[in-house]
Amino acid sequence: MSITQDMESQHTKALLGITFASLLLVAVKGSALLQYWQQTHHILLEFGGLPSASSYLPDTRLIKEWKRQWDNTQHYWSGVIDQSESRMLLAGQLLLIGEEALPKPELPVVMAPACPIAELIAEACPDTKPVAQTKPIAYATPTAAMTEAPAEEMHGQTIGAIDAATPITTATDVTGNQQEALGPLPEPTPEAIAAAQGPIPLSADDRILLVGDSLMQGLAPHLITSLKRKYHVESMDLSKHSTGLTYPAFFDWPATVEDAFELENYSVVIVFLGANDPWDMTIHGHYTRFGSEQWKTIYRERVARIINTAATHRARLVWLGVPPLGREDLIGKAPTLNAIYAEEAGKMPLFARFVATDPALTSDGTSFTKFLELPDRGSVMVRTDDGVHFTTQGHRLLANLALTQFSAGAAPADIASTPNNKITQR
Amino acid sequence: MHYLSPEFGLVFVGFLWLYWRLGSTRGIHAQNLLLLVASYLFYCSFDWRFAFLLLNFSLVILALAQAVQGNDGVRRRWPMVLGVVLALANLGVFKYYNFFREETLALLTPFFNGASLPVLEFVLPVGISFYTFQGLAYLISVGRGECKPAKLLDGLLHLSFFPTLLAGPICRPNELLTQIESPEERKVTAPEVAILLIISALIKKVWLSAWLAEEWVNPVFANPDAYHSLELLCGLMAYAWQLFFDFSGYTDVVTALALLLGFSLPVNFRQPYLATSLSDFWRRWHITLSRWIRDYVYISLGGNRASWGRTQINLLIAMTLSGFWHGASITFVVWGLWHGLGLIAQNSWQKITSLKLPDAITQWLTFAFVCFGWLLFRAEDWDAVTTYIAGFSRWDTVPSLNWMGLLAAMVVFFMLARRAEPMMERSAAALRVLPWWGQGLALVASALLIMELAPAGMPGFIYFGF
Repeated sequence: MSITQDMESQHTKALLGITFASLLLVAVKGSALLQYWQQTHHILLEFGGLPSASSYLPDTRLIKEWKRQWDNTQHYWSGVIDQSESRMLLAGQLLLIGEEALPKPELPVVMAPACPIAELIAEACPDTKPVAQTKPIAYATPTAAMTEAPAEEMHGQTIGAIDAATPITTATDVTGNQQEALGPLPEPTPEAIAAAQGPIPLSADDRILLVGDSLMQGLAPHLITSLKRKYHVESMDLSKHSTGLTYPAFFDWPATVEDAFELENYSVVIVFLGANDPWDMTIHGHYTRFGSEQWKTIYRERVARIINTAATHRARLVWLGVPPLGREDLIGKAPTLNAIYAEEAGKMPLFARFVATDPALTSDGTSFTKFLELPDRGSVMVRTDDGVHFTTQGHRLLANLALTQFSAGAAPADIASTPNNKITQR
Repeated sequence: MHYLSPEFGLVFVGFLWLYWRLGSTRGIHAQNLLLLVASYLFYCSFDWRFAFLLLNFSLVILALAQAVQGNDGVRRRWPMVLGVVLALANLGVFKYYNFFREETLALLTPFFNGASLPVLEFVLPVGISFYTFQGLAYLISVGRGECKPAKLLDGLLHLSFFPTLLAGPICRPNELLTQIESPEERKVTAPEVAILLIISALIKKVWLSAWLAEEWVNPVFANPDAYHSLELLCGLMAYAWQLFFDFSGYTDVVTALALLLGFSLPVNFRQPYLATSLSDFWRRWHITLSRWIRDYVYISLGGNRASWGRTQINLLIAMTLSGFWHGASITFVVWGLWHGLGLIAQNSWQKITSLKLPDAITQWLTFAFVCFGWLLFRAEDWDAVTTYIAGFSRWDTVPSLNWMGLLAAMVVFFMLARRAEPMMERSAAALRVLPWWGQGLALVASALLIMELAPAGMPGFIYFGF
């Protein structure tokens, strides 16, 4: 890569090449680009959206046939690769740890039966149609979300069709099938509520699901390690940075949680998100201002959907509130979100609880605090410079706060052990 | 704005047209002025206060450089010493105040009950470690009489040039400043190299580094207790490569940006994991920092001019300071010490015996040593290090990650590293013969393929934190 001094400058060639490439990329990846901008900078460019790559292809039979063949080939080869990969890995595992590596002769967990727990409640399950088919598309990755149709519209329409005035009931449109099938949720009698308010008992065979954005990504390692050391429970961390409940087309948490429950029966869900959420939503290309009634209704419905999924599976849910945010454009926005979380959790007192993080992470209980006075360590930095995230010390405080919600116990939850509801017992 | 983000890309393309148009109509001074304005605007996009600090720092350094040359033609020493003290104090306040505050408090507590130092909330200005070092290199060069003091605008641009502002490469004055000052018309001589470097950056950063982070590094480091010894080992190797892909990918993209502006930047990486000794590793990893430490710390301490023992002490001090430069945390200091001690062990071995091990063995030894160093580099605190190390005795769990796949990837990475240079040269030759639209298409095709393969999201560059 030598540079010759006497050569003519080729900046025109470079300019043309780079400009051409940029324009072409914008044309092909336009919709993904808009999604990215909306997610990152909360800007919606109002010119009706850019076309996606496939819209450039003419809609002829020949092209459709090609696309089908291409998909089949891709499918075939990814199957071949997956299979050889797992065989190779199994061979390696056998060499490494011997027979233990052989898969146990159990049915695979990944099944989509009529109801996830069909064997226990067969008589209550009138319809044999797989639940998965009736729910919105769950995106495995944000990339998938970008390339496929957003779930937002589909879901929004469902709500509208049923009842827009009572978000809590309409929110269950997806999980509703399961809920009916499982039988009604237990009555929240005062005794049951009182029992549910104590620490959640954890035993070694419980599974914990961690849900959230980058706040949870930082907290999860501390939580996982502490939960494992203290209660010998395993956790599944699904947290993903830049996600939340405001842009489901980018990442759909309610659907992701539903999917997670289809794969495994979690007994506890811990949710910690919201820092990416205090922004305007765009519904069918129209702005819905953050904090407006419509915004709250939609957001509330998404929160409710996660809580309902947990309740349907008789799992306990701990919703950690967003602590005060110190970034200029986020200041004062956390309480709006927390009010919704708290209210929605309050509607399912047997299963969900809202845990405010402000008291543990602020000096006065309400405003953003970067340095906290701790009795044993003096003043320590608990928040990072960005005004959103936490330092290791902050994560420890949060993890301790979350841990106070649990206690060692044989049964996952009192309410789950009533004769009607023993389905979460594994 | 992130160098590989779509918004930066689009703004930069527009900027390039303006820049070259200005070059052909108004000449090189107008281009420099435009670059200076753009650099400050770019820095303001992070925080306007950062730009203000940078301006302040640059003005002080430039004024002191002017003061070096006395009226009588004799070079004065005090401006250089003062500049070094001020620059380090500035860096110290922003980067190390809270570190020293906590350490000092811990020391004071046994003697003074209720000792306290004020808590100051500083935001670490991104790139401060890099521009401080570049500014010092300039001032010391002037002080040593190696280069002349720069004119105001040229000097300001030298310290704020936006491709190198956030994370280097740390340029010597005879590299960047000379190009800024040169009256010759600026040229892009090899557009294909710039395009190739952008593709290389996308592969390294957007695909490989992100993939390693997501599949291996983040889960394994987040919860080392849950993994088999072999997985921990794989996680460590994965982190070593992630770090390389991340930082060398960054260097590739900024080198490409500079090339498109008609500048060439110094080399920062030369396949570091092929090093056959630790000293060889430091000649291949973050080269511009290593040579800065060598020129201004190691040699200033006396280098290898005194006894063998003194040389080793100088090495240890230089490496520990290099560790501390990376961050105000005890793990970085220990990381620097680890490398210093490694270098001493290596020198002692060479002093005792003339036995030369085969390259294949020394290469693996070096890689293993460096990998364990990265464990300190990554760890948040000392607990995290001990937990990870304790995990190496865990042989009874069933591995849950595809370690065979990772080992295969490692083999591929090492094989590609050996062939990287000829591969780049051949690709550049192939691209060179293509017309502009062919080069553009090659870039688009690569970008689309990488986006398809890469995990989603736009993770930040690790070195922006230093």
